[in-house]
Amino acid sequence: MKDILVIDDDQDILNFLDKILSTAGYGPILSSTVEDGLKKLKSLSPHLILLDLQLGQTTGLELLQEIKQNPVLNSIPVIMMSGNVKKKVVYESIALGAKDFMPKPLIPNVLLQKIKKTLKEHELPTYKFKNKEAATAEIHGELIKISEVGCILESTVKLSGPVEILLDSKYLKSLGLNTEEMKIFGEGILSSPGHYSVELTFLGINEKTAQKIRQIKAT
Amino acid sequence: MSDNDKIVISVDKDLKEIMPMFLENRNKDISLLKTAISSKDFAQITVIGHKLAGNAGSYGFPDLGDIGVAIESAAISKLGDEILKLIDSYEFYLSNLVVEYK
Repeated sequence: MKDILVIDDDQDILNFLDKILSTAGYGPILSSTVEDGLKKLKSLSPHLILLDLQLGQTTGLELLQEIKQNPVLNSIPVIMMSGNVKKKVVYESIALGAKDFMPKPLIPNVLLQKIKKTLKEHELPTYKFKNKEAATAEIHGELIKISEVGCILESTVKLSGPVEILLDSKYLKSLGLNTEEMKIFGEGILSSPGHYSVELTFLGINEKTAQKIRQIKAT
Repeated sequence: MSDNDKIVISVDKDLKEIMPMFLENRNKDISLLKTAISSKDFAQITVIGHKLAGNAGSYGFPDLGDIGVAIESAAISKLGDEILKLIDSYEFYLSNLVVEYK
């Protein structure tokens, strides 16, 4: 289920979107203030943000700018919402990094189409091989523990610099790969505990092992 | 209310659960507007009008949204008499509103 963070100071709009998004199969996360919205953004890592342009004393554009300047948060797509649909405002939103603009009053079908389109454009590519499920990584601070590695995935998330990765490597060993010989690292940014796809780069392996990995990837 | 005054609006049945809260908040708007206009708090009236303009249409009440637009505009221009008329229109609308679900 895709989680969508809604930041709007109008409780009626929050109630409305809670209903519309839940009915459509999304997981709405509601917030009526900038502070609460940022807190939830950082701790819950939604797949998309619906952000009102006018949030009390703060403008949504200021918050949008803050999100887009944050290396951890800037990959999350934002759709701005507002009753103010002057071209200047729309252009400014897009220039600051919003993916789309939804005028108010909100028309559910139109909004849901915009959400679907934006999420599709931000779908993280992965591939699987053999019949194993995608690897998941539990994040404990900067340490990533990967269990049941069954495949090597396309890189989808940036990790913050080289991180230590522990492998429960039964499967890799069953493929004849000696993981003790390998150094494995990923690169990018992780924003919060959760499940991510990671790219594993194997270093310090001999050509024979590298060839074996290439064969596995190609299967 | 007489049958002639009824304002019958059909809205999406998915909104049935949240409609009572929306209408209750709209009645609160009336009280807030009356208080605000008596103290000439045009900033507050602007906020109320702006929110109504944005949320009423979403719930299926575009005419009410138009009242919100007018309230916001009148408040920005500080037109007290106009605001009083609009409050009356708002109150009339809510008093005579009949919501049907489709």
